Amino acid sequence: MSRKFPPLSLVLLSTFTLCGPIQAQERQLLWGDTHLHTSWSVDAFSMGNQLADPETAYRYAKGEPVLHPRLGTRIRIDRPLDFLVIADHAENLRWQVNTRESIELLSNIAGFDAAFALVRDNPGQTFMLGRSRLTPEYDAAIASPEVRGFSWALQVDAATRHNDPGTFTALTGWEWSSNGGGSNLHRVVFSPSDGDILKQFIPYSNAESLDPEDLWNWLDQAAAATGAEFVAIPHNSNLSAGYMFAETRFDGSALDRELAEQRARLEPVMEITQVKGTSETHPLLSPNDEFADYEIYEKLLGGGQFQALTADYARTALMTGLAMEAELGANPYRFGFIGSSDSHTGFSSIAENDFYGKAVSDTLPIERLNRTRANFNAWEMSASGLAAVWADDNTRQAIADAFQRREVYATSGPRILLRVTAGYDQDGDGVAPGVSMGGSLTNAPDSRAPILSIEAAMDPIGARLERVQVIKGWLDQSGNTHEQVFDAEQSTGQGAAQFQTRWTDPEFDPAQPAFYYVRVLEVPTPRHSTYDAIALGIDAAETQMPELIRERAWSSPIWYEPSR
Amino acid sequence: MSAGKQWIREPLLHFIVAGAILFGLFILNGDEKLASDDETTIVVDRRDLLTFLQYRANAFEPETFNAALDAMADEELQELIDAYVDEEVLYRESRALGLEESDNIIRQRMVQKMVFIMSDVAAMNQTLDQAELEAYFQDNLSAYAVQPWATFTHVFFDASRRGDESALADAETALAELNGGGVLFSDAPAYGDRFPFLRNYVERTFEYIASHFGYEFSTALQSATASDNLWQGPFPSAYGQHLVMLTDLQERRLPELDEVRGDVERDFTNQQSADMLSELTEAIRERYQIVIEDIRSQPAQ
Repeated sequence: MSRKFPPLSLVLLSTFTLCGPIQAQERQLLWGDTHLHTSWSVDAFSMGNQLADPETAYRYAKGEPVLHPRLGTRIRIDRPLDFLVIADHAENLRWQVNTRESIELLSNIAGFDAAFALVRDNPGQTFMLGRSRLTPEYDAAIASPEVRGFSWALQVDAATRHNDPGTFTALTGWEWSSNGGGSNLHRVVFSPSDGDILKQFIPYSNAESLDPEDLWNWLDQAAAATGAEFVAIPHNSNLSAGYMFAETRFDGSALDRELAEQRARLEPVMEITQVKGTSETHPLLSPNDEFADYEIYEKLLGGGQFQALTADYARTALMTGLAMEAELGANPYRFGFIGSSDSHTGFSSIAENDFYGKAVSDTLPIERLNRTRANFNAWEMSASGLAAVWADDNTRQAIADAFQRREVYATSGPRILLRVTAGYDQDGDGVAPGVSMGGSLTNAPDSRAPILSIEAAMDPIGARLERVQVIKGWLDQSGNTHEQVFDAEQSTGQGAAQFQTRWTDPEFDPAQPAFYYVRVLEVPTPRHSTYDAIALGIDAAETQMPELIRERAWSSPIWYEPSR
Repeated sequence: MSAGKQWIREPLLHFIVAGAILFGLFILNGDEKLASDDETTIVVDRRDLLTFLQYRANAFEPETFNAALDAMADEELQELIDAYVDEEVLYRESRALGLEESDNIIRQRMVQKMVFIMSDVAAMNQTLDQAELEAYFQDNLSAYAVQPWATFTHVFFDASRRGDESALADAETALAELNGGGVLFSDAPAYGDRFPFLRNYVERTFEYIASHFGYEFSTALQSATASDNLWQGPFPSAYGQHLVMLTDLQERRLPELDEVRGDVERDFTNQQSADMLSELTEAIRERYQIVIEDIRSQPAQ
């Protein structure tokens, strides 16, 4: 049966050649969210999410219809995710009593027993007239190691139950929510390790320390003691008040090489976009970048005056990293990018036209009209972001490995495909096999400039692409850092379905350390607040937010290191 | 003024409630303080400081904190006392001003803690009756449907590269040749343009397929017929035209209970908990007299 195709047609049909980058179809593109809160996060619960627990969150992500806690109807994701990290706050992790066994276990703790007995034995009682009080024993029970360990084990079990290698990866994680110094220093930590390893510890919370160095040391110690592997992901550097990517340690003293290496090893990736804004750069920091003003959020969690500081944004942090490497011999800020939601609804919903809000209390357009809140106003929130991972397989380990390689990228929600590799020209024989995003180049042959091979494809159920840009940051011989934005491709008219391009640095200096990352912009599309305005029958200007946005993808950087 | 508001504003009742609460405090706390607090006296004892320390650390390990307290130097202990007293005076002043009454954060947190306790009690009373479970499953059957999927390979004609019209014309020409030449599933990589996503799709849901090709393609594929020797198409995607060999198509299917029993049990017990929570709330409501004033005819002040 197997016959060769006529040669003429073969020529006609196979005009495609190997223009694509290496590893073209070897690694798969996986889509996920590494930062989702469920009803087990105390703040999620108090913002109206009393029902969407980890079980619900995994099932929603996998494409099953689940009950929305506010609407009472079933909702379904438009496109399932390939992986999900549930990252409930380690602080006051909500316990869930849903089996007789767990009740028996918790009843041994005095505060719970009293609480259960009180309500159980007095059905319909009004405590107004009673004389029973539960605190402080009850609060002590909630925060006891037994209860925290119990809650954590239930989280681990939920991930184990939903992990389906090859189809859907459920990863266990938590959020360490330090607000040290009035700044947001939050990290999501996830682990690809097996449940029996993870149950050997209780997640490190801000009750233990507000200093990120203590978190890193704890992670290293827990890894040594249990064999667990960890990936820590800083988020909302935009709200860190100058702390997240500072040039000094948390206590203000100077960094050393060892600390820089530890940080780069434990935090290979940062979250560049999420519901509380985008942390790529700020218009005041990058005045020559006409697309820098994108989903900027300027309300610090603890109040206080916002300032656009270099330690708060990814691009300037990468530049700081180059300078620090020159000084220390190690770059603490050698990180890749992902986006994730930080949704507290239990639902990873990041599409502008299918956004359930940051909090369940913001489910309906009418509820988002409330602008009296000091923080987290629904329309100021961003329907963003998404984590893209080039992995060998859809498994826990393959995803963690991709994070370690930084072969990951971020989008503001749309599933924009983005491949970036870099190498050098081989005397006209094409580009040598080089490195993928997240990697480093060195030893430029004959001082030749690196060539970036870029392939971008629109989200097939989203908008077309407007342009491909390369953002370069570098350190000059005097120790000053610089940034520049280059247009590598720009479409005319309606936008393009795909871009395949090669870009050569026109200002390459082989003596200067540099990084390059790719930004892909969609044509302008309506923001979620605009959809609300339509639903409410009001003018979009009343939302006080931009009517249209250019959704985008950001590749992880590729670094160029001069040979020493 | 309504009877309900009068009830809440009745000073005698306040007195009784406050007395009952204080009495309850003494009962639960057991050992009483040597000196007693009144409104403007703050008596600081070891237990106050231990509780303060533990709340501040958000960790409740009396032994650890007892030891920590013992290990404190005088200066350190004085700092702790000062911090406790500062907090206590501000707390008392704030309560004297009634600042907790209209604070929505405090209100929500208290409601939340009550719901936690009631939910746990509700969960405690759960039963898993097989007949009820079966009935619940039947009532919600469509929520457990097994999603349809397809197995196929494709040959891609890139509209960005060839232009829309040529991509279609080339695909149509190639269709006859692929079928005429008996080209197999496994030979597909030799033809067409490079597609940004995958060549072969094995048992993939139509949402997954849509996320690589767009809805137009996935919808068209869903109505195609499975065959392991027929190339079909061209089907348009967001990127161009595709010739498809669709070898397997699984239609949407309603499962048996045993296939999804774990999910159904969790949903059923969650539903039971939610129902019981409503019942408990209802029972509490019945103990209150609720007076609804003529809301519509009285404009807000």
